[in-house]
Amino acid sequence: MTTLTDTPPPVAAAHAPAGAGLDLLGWLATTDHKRIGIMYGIAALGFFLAAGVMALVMRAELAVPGLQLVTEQGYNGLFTIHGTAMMLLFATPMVAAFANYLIPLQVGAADMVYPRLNALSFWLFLFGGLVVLSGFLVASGPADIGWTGYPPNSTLPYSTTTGTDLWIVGLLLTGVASILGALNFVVTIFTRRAPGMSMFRMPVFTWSMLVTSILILYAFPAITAALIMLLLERRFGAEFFNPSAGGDPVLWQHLFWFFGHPEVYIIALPFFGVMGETFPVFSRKPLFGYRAFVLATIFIGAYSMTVWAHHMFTTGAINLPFFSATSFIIAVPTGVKFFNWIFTMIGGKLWFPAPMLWSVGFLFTFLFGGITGVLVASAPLDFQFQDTYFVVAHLHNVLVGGSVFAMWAGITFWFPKFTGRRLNEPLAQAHFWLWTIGFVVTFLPQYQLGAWGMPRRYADYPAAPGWTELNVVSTIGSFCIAASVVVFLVAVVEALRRPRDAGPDPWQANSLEWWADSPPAHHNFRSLPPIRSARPVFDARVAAREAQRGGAEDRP
Amino acid sequence: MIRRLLLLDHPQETRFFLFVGAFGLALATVYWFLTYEVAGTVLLLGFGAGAGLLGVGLYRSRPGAVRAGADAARRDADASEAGRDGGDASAVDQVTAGGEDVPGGGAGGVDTPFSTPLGRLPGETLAPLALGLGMALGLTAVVFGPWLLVAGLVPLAWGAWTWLTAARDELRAAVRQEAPETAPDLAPDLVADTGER
Repeated sequence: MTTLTDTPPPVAAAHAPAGAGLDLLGWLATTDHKRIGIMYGIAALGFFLAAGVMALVMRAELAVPGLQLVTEQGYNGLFTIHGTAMMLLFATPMVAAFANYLIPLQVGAADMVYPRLNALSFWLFLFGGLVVLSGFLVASGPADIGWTGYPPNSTLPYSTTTGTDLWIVGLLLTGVASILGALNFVVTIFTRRAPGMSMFRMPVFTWSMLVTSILILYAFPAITAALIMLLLERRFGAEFFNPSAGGDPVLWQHLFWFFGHPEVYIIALPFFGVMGETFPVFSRKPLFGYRAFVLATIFIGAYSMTVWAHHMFTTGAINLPFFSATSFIIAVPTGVKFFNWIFTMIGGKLWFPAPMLWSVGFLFTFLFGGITGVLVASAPLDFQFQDTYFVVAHLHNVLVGGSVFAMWAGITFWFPKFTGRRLNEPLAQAHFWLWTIGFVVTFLPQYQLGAWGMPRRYADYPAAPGWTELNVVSTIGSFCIAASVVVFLVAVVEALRRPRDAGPDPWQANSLEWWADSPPAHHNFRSLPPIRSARPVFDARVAAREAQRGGAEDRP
Repeated sequence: MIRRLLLLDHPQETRFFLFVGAFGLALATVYWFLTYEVAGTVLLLGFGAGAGLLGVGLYRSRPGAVRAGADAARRDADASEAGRDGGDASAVDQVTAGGEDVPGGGAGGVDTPFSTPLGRLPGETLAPLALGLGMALGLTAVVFGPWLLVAGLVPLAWGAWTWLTAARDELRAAVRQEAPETAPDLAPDLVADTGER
């Protein structure tokens, strides 16, 4: 039974989880949200590494014109699976990893509402991801249709590889996994909050996950339906997207982007929430404008459902002013969040361990992605940039700047909670600097290449003036990113070889997960502090300090 | 009156869904009259109607749930005044004071108006893994042929059976715990350990 107390748990009480060795059967059979979260994280990082290797091969291919490291068909497969894996097998499940681990802890619950369903979500995601990648094992090769899978390119006369069918089946499985996971998150947040935790006392990460989960519940059924239609068309002769039989290929684009644009926010909003957790801790201040931050999250979530067709400007089949306007408007609540983060830092006692470095790096890189997003939200400019490297650079600035920087911030921030150990700070900072330099060097030149008209999704390009130099620079940057990931893996291995010494709250943080041991016990809490604000652990620390001071004054 | 119009006497959860639903329906209307485009209108209507219906459901469930929550918070308050840990006092204060954090009439059962009892947490089980494997094999049969469907049926059936029987046993055990005299007879081992490997 959870009890309420003002006294933080002692460091010495840190819990050693059951089966400290390799408890393989325990992991396979687990329904514990923390283990499931860690499995999500490891699997997502595995897919990230695989997709990263594909990116390196593509950048090597594009380093100079005329180089043919892979065939054109192979290149098509690489960019298809790279995009799919990064979006749906890495970024989305990484959101699920953080959410699984943190939501029950942040709301003061013992576990998810549906622990077995939670485990099923993970296994469906893992098997779905493996089915997508298994396209590399079939003779005809992996899917070659781009991660957007537009018909008619993805229908049988044009994509004959079995890999495309495996891509569809795999994504169906991961889609169902996402829907089941989102359902679990929403119900857990609504029904398992600790006494005293009203909606406006929830940590901003949990708020962000609530909105994200609702987005998943609306967006993923659209892509699931579209994938089933495509599968029926490829395997059973249906004609949903064939104009000569009364179908409409633009229908796929509507369904895909009704999922696809919310998907951008599905993988961004939770990490905005992560930023809402890190900036206050490393500024030693409460989050500036908590309610404005939450309302901005809700507005972004709601508006993200109304901007899908800005990806379809050049189809000529959509209303340009409507989607241009909604796309411009969505920048406003995003700007509100920037003010939240910046004003949280102003006047604070800033310190810059690795999580804070990643957080500040996120601000700059995501801002750049946001600004170039405003450019392509303008229909006349979008007509120029469509399908060029400008779009490639923009989407990486948004997705890597907005999600992956914040993901690294989250991993380095909560690593002590996950493992009971802090990452080696010099290694963690080297990871940050290598990644950031590599990221800028990789993608900045691509804006110029796009402005010059270099098209995306081609295995080669002409030796036009300036193109080769910028492509060489971009390729060097991508290998710098790869080196930074190696440094991160070394830091993790080094940390895991040390004894657990982080204690429950190494950063002096605010939300309930820092009340639990590091790593937390099986059912998370032996006690809970009273929840009278959005920062219950901070309140408990203050109360404990005052009680200590009062006790000292009472002494003769 | 204004509080009622703005639904301030309803839980934040209810207002959240009603707002999102109203937003989606309004956008669907605007979109239709601007474009007369069917696919997008249907998608926006689905978005608005889904959230709206959920909001209406929460709106209708409000009186009983919030009253029950408020009653529970008052009982906690009485208990804490009788010498227990006073941690729930904030919730009770909010019930009675009508302060800022008292959506829908309260906190406590009021901060968390849709809170449900914890129930039993399952032990370790291979059922989700088996079910997931069965579903993956079964679906991949569309690509490689029906033999995969047959291979997938075995883990699927075992996983589903194990899952459902464990859930049934947990439910019976929970019922028995709450009302021992009315619960159906249960095998002692099912009550003692519902975690299945």
